[in-house]
Amino acid sequence: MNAKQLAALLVVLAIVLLVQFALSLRNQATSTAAEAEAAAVELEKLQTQIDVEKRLFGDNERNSSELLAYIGKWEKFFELIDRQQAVESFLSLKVREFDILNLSQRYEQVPHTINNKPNDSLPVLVRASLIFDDNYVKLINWMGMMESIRPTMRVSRVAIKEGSRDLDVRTDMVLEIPLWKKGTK
Amino acid sequence: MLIDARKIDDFKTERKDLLPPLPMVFRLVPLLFYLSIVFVSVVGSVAVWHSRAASERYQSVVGRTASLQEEIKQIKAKRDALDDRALEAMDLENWVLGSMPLQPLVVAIMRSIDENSSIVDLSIERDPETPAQLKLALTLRTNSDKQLEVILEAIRALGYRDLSPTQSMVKGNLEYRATLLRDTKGRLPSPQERKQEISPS
Repeated sequence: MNAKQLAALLVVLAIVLLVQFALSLRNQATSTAAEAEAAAVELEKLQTQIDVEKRLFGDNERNSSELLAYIGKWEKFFELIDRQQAVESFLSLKVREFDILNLSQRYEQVPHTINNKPNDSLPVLVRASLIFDDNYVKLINWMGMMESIRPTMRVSRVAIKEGSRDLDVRTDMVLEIPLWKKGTK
Repeated sequence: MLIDARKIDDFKTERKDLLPPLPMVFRLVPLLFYLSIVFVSVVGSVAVWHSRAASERYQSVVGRTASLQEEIKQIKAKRDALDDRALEAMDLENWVLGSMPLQPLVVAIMRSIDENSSIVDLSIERDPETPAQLKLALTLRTNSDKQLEVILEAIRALGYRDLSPTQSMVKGNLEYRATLLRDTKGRLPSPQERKQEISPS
């Protein structure tokens, strides 16, 4: 190969390199455009997802608003008692106020389960087992007063039988007060 | 000083080619070279312009994607918090529904006893699994056939239904047992309504 041929070959090589360079620029632009396109598709999917999330949230908000508003009226009563000592002192005070003959008081904490499943929001009940022997009217009024001022307190058992005197009744009463563990769910 | 033009031409003397000339087709090579430069200029510029535009679009989309993902995360967190709140509210609601006062029921039963009858034993107990259900056990000392019916009327007037009732005579006393279920007609009582249910004895 002589010098002229070599020079021509070099120029041809330069032509090939220039074309190759132009094509590589074009390929790079194409791949960047493809990435942008893929990202735009992803963005569109996210837009759809956010619409779905917003709709679900709106639906949940609408569906639960009535329940939350209803429970809002009760929350202050659940918040009134948050530990066993408060239950004991409150019941003892109310018994003394009514001057009722209280034969026994027993307090215990029991786990709150429904269908063997623990209740996360109200995990513990304070159970007060009380035995009275006093005037029927006084006892019934006391029971009504307790259910009125503590509407979240539950009389889980009441057993009434003849008492020691004519108008007296012996009453076994089991009261249950839930301790609310707020924000556990 | 003037130099003769012929003498200047003499500086570049006629030389004979040392190498043989290239074939005619090789005259295309410089033409192709110039064309390739034009090609690179046009295609390269367009490609760079496209690439830059696509890159800007990509960056903007990526930024928007990140902000949407953050927004979705926030909505999900809010939805989870709302769901938790609703579950908690359902727990509290179930408690409220299962803690209707018993005093009005006791008062209604006591008031419905006539002067010829008396209660030997009265027990009302909530079912631990379904607290809205009450187990009633009543032992009556009565001569009247209608006394039990009067008591049941008083119970039904409060909205309770008696399920699976049984009655028997034990040692001359009438024993009645039933499960009571209150029909709330889907209404949820407010604390005020609960207070109003309590009867003065």
